[in-house]
Amino acid sequence: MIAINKSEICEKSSLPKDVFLGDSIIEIIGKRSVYIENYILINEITESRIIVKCKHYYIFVLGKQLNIEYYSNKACMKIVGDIDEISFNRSLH
Amino acid sequence: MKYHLIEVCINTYELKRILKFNAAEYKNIRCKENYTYLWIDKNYWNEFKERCQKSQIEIVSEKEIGFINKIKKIQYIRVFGVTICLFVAILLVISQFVWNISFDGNYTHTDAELKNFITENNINTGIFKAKIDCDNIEKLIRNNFSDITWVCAEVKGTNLIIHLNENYNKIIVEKEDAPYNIVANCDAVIDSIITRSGAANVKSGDQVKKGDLLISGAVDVYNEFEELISSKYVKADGDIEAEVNYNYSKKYDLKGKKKEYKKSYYTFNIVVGNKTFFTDSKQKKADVITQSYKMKIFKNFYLPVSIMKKQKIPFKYKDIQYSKEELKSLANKDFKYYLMTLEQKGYKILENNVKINFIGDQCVMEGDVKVLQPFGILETINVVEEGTTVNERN
Repeated sequence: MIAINKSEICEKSSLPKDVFLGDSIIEIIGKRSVYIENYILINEITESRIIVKCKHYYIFVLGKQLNIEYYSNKACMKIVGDIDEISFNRSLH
Repeated sequence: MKYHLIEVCINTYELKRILKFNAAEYKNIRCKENYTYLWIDKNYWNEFKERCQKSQIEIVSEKEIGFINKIKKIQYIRVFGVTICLFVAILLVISQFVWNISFDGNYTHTDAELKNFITENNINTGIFKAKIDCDNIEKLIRNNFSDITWVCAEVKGTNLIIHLNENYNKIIVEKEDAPYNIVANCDAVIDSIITRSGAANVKSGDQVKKGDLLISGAVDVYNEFEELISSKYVKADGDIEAEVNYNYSKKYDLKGKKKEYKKSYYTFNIVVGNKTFFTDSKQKKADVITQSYKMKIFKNFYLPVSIMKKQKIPFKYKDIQYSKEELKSLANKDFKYYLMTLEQKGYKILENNVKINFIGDQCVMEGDVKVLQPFGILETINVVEEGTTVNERN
C-alpha cells in the first residue's frame, strides 16, 4: 500500500495548505488581537482563556479581559483583549 | 456601526450549541462568571429565538442596543420632528411672499423715495408674490419719474428687485404725450436760450418772474400773406440758462448749547413685520445710529425678520459761550456746505455777497448768492377736444 504524505504533495504541487490539509490561519496583531480562520468551534470561553477547536489541534489563547469581537460559523473570528500566550495542543489538557 | 442589534445573555455552557447555529454573525462575545453575552443582528433575531426554543436553550435576558434604539429612546424626538416639519412648512409659506424690495442703478432718486412711491401704489413688503405685476410696476415708475429711462422689475426668492437706468444729465425731459410750454420756476435774468422746438418768448438779458413763459409750445403758422392760419402745438424744448439770486440768511447766538457725550452703548431689537420686540424703554437724551439687518437664507431668500442694531450715544446739553472767532468759523463752515450743495446741483456761482455781521449777542450771516443754472419747468397745454387745443395763456 502506498503511503500518501499530504504535506509533501501540497509542497510539490503548490496547493494551499489551509484548504488541502485543513490547517488554521492565525494572524496576530501585537498583543491586542488575533484573527483565526478555519476552525471547528469554540470549546471554552472565559475572561482569561479561550480554547478554539481546529481540525488537528486546539488553539489556546491565554490573557486578560478576553472577548470575541466577532464570530461567524466556521469562517473567521477575532479575539481581542490583553493576550499573553497562544499555544497549540493536540488535546485539551 | 451598531445600527440595530440584540444583546443576548445565555448560560456559558450553552455557548457551544449556540455557536453551531448557522447564524450570520455573532459579535462581542464575552463571559462574566457563568453567563455569556453576545450581540446578534436584529434581522436574525426571530430565527435565533426559534432555534433556541427548538434546542431548549434558555435565553436569560435580551436587550435592544444600537443607534436606532438610542434615537427611539430620545424623549423629545417627536417634538423635534414636528418642529422640523413646522419649520419647513413656515419656510414654504414665507417663500410665497415678498419680504424685501431692493433697487439697483438709482443715483439721483434714493431708495427711500422710490420705496415710498411703490408703497403708495400698494406694493409693499409682505405682498403675495402672485399679486405682483412686474409690468405694471415698470409702467408706474416710468410714468412718475420722467428722468428714469429704463425699468425692469423681477422677483427673485422673496426679493423684489427693481433695476433702473436714470438719465440724470438731462434736466428737462419729455414728460408726457400732451404738448407743453417751458415757464420760469423763479425770478431770474436769462443768460442764454437755445430753442429746439417751440417758440422762444424771451431773449438773453431779459428779466423774468416766476411763471413767465420762456418757450411756448404753440407755434403759429402763417400763409404767404402773413395771415395766421392756425396754431400748431408742440412739446417745447430747449436749453435755457439764467442768473438766479438765492438769499442766504442764518443767525447764530453767542450763547449756545453744546452736547456733552458719554460712553456709547448698543441695543438690539427684533423686528417682525411692523412690530418691534425688545425695545429699550429708557427715554434718555441720546444720539441714535440705527442699522437694520434683514435676515435671509442664501442671497435672495429674505425672511420677515430683521435685527435692528442701535448705537446710542447719551448726551447732556452744556451752556457755553462762543467767542466771535469760533462763531465766525462755524458760520463759514455752514456757508461753505451751502455753496457745495449748489455746486453739486450743477449751478455755477457767479457772485457771493454774503457777509457776517455781529449784532448784539448774535452773529448774522446774510446776503445773496448769484448763480448760473439750468432754468425752466414744464407746463402742459390742456387739450379741450380733438382738433382744438387750448393754450392756458391765450
